[in-house]
Amino acid sequence: MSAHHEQPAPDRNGSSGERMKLIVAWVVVGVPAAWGVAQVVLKSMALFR
Amino acid sequence: MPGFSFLDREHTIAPPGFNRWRVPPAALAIHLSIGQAYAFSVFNLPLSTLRGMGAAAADDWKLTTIGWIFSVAIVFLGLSAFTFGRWLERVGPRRAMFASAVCFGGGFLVAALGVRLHSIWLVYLGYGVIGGIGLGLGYISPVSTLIKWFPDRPGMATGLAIMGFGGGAMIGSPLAVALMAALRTPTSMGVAATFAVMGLLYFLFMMFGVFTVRLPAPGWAPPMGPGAPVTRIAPGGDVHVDRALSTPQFWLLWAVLCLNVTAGIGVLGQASPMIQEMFPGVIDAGAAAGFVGLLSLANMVGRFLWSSASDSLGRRRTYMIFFALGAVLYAVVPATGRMGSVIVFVAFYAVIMSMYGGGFATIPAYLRDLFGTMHVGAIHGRLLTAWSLAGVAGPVLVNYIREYQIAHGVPKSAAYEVTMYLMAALLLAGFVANWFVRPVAAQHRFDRAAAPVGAPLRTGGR
Repeated sequence: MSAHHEQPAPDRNGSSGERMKLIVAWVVVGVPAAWGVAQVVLKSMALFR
Repeated sequence: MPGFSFLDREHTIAPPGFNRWRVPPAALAIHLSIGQAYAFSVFNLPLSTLRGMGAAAADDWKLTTIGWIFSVAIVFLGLSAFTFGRWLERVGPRRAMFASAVCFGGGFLVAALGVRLHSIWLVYLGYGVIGGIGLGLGYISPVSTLIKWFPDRPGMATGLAIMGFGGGAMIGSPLAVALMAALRTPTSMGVAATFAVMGLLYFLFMMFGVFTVRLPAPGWAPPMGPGAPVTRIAPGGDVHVDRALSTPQFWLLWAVLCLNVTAGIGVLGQASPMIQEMFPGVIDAGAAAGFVGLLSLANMVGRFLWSSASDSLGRRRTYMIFFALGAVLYAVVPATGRMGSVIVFVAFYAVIMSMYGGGFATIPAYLRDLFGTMHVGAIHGRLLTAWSLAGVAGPVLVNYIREYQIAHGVPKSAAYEVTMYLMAALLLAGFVANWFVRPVAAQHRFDRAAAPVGAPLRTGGR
């Protein structure tokens, strides 16, 4: 991979709009995933009763 | 195509300032959706009592007939990943993800019509064939894109995406149960309506991934400031997908994946009856369902943790751990059953399942190390045929050996012991295959200078 930086380092210099899009993107996938994990954890409690 | 130009590769290139951490959610949106396939069994019982409304009628479908829906889908997953891998590299991830969303969501709708008309062939066509093609396209479409965005940690990046496939069942199963309960009427089990709603929901969720995914601009490199974690593993020289199949490395990795999956998938499918029969009177059906859920969780978490760890451990060493530790755990699991220790039994299986998932998630980065990034998506697609074989071999091995044991007078609680030892032996064979993996010889590398002028090299962002 060539090392020349044609763009600013995006992970460090993102605008607030870009940061908001990033948060929204993770919330969109994170909420259903967390709901699914919570369902599994609740169900698995029966194993240790 | 007019109106669909937003799907073109050139419209997918990230603008300056784009944050690469927006790409993993795009991949997760696809994989969390198609991972629903692992939860298809939740429909088995309702599908078998459509006419009898909760009790099987004479013209209701048999469970063996229904079982083929999932099998057809997995076969078409492998076939489409094999067939469309090169097309994906040419058109880019967005078009492939869109095709996946159309096929997966559309497959649900066709299957809904099949349930409504009580035509099993329409269900096979819908969820099995069309949906299966969506599974294969969706599974491979974000992989090479993530590897390009995260050259400093390719294992972590692909682990994030493929973790979604492991976690998809955790969403798909309770969602299906809740929808069937809500949509059931006095004259309908609610399955057709549930299929239709899920088809639309998954299509919309996958479209979020379609619109979010971006390819890095040519020449883009990740930030390399202080503290930036960088894998020590450089990608191998680029190898053309057709050439990759003629290398021993491809077939060794094919064996590695096949053996790792075979050892895990058979037990995963039998987890519920297995724990009930190994701990009779201690574990009931409800607790066994909790065990299955925990294994799914371990499968999902292992995909991310092991794949991320491989960035520093090295891919070959990571698989050595999978095979050596997995073989030891399989060999001692029967002893935990005899001891009556449920917690140790569950803990050992959780580790085994984490390595089963880790095997899936680490393989794209392993391919990238050996064959470069040029055709890694297409090569990954072809490697997934190992999964198709393992998907048949694993359950058959476990079921056949168990029935043979019981037929010859072995108590049910001990009937899984031989299976465990066989799984340990399979993992040792995988250890040997992985041992022989070496870097690909220079003669197999793609020679751009020798390629005809104007010939599509294909790949993007380079």
